[in-house]
Amino acid sequence: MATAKFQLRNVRGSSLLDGLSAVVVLSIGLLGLAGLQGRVQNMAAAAENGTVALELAQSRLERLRGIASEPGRDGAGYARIGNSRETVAAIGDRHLDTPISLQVDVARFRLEAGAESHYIAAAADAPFQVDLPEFKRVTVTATWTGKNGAPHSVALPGILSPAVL
Amino acid sequence: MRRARLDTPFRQRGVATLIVALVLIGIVSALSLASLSYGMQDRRAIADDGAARLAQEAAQAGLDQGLQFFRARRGEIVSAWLAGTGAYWERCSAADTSLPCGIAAAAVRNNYFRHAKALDMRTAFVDADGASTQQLIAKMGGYAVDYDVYALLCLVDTRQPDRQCIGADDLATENISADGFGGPYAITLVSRSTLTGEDGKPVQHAIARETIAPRAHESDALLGVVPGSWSDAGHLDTHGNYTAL
Repeated sequence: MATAKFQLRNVRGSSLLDGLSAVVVLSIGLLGLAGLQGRVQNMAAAAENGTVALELAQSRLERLRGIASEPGRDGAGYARIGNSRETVAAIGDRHLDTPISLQVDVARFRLEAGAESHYIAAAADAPFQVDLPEFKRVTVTATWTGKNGAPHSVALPGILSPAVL
Repeated sequence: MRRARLDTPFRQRGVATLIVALVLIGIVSALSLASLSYGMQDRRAIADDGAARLAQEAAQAGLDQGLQFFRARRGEIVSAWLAGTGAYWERCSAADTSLPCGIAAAAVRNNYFRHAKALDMRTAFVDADGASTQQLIAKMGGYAVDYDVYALLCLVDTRQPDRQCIGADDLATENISADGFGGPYAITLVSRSTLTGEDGKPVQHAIARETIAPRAHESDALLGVVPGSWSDAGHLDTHGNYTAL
């Protein structure tokens, strides 16, 4: 009888230990999976930030195209396009997870007349001449900081022409 | 005695606990892997979408550079390049489905002129270091960018109300002299871009096209973008009077 009691206790103790072991193993597994999920979420957030940054850069480039193609004999819209920098913290009502900095760098090229005429770099402040073909190579760079503090950027270059009507 | 110990509830309960734990681990692992797989697919889709956008921008850059190329060569387009020996332009054959002739419908393809290869723009562009350059833009969003720009020339038939290109049979009546063609013309640019990843493999392609034409009322005949385009059927679809462009 005493032996039987001792065996029953042993059985109950072993079952509890089994359960505890299972909980420990499960917990370790779950912690690992939670860590993995966290990394996946970080990757998804980084990809989303990259998409938003690219959309902003594209939108800015399109806006600059629109400004450059404003009709007018003096090419006033085109002439306005120069280097600039601004930070975007929200798009409409939507606040961004991280502010995105938009930098516009402009290089101006003008046709150098000659037998085999070609474009050469021109000064940014040279007056616009309606009869002299020229264009601006514009690079819109969107920069943001990831959750881990690492800087990210995407550069979107384009070529803008004056619309002269 | 030994058999009795082996058959105790102790062993059975342990197995049950183990099975339950394994099942739980299996379920959680399956859910996590499914979530991970979904996350990776989502990320890949976002990357593909970004690459597609960049490829389209690269193709647009090719069009913009092509426009500048023809602006730089506007004095030769329908003169030296059209008349005389070693002409730049040649008629598309109806059976040619390659770029750029292939973008026109077979029925009117022969009305267009093409340059056989992608434009060689090196003579018109000099980079910041003074070297001739074929592409003003070589990198975009972390990808290497290549674009080829092709051109189709249309000599506009002003006698046709729907402004078709002058066919080979009617060209003599439009008087191409030794100095070239004196009437209005339009050029359809076709740009094909390729984005290449860090591993050197092409990631994405895009094609864009645009029609440019001289602004007839400008004495210096600057080339501009026609607000409209040539349809595949060969008709100039502009928003306004062509001659006023």
